[in-house]
Amino acid sequence: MKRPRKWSLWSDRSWPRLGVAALLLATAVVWAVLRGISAYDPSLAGIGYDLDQPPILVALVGVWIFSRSRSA
Amino acid sequence: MILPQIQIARGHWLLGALFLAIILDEYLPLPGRDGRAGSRSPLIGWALMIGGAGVWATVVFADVVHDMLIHFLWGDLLLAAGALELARRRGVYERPWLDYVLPLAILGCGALFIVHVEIDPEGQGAQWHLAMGLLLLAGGLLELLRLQWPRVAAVPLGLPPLAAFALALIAIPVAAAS
Repeated sequence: MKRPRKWSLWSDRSWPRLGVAALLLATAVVWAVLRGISAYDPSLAGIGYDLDQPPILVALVGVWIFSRSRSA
Repeated sequence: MILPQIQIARGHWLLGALFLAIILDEYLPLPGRDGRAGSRSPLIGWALMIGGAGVWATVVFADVVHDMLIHFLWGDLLLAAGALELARRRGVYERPWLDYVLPLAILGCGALFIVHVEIDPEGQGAQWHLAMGLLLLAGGLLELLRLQWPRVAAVPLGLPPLAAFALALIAIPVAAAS
């Protein structure tokens, strides 16, 4: 009977993506602290402006790469 | 219609994030695949074409002729590369030379940055444009070299300069965006 594979950070090829995702998220946090983040009104355009800020964009790319780290 | 400088900067930040997502997904190895290729996702083709449409939109909003021309050519290049990548990733068109499409598109975009600076060396953001052009040229050349040397193919040589380019685009100050 085949044993289910135990996932390990170092046993597969996920770690470059996980590492880059962690680096991007850390960069986003530092960037947000240094630069600050503006909040806009809760309209559709305001939400677009909320997201279209360098630290938020870097964090979104980090989340995207993290989500793409487990799929072949 | 001329866009305010902050909106131009926002467009640059958005395109920078899109480019960062493209190159990381393309060049970072995926679990279960060999290191040479990234995801081979059709999303890359779509993202290139969306980026091309975004750059091309500058032709409508720019008020400087050389900005209009250069952005028009950038848009064309990205749309053509995106269409070819999409066709390959969908499996409807397979040719060995398609491996060169992405590095050549990157190289072409880098060359256009240099042309942009050469046409208007005193323009605002010239230093940023020069740095970004050189980073794209380095990234494109390194990826072309990687295609030629299969032994180092597992290492995405072009990734550091291309990531630096994307981060420079995301970080471009409002005053330097043009």
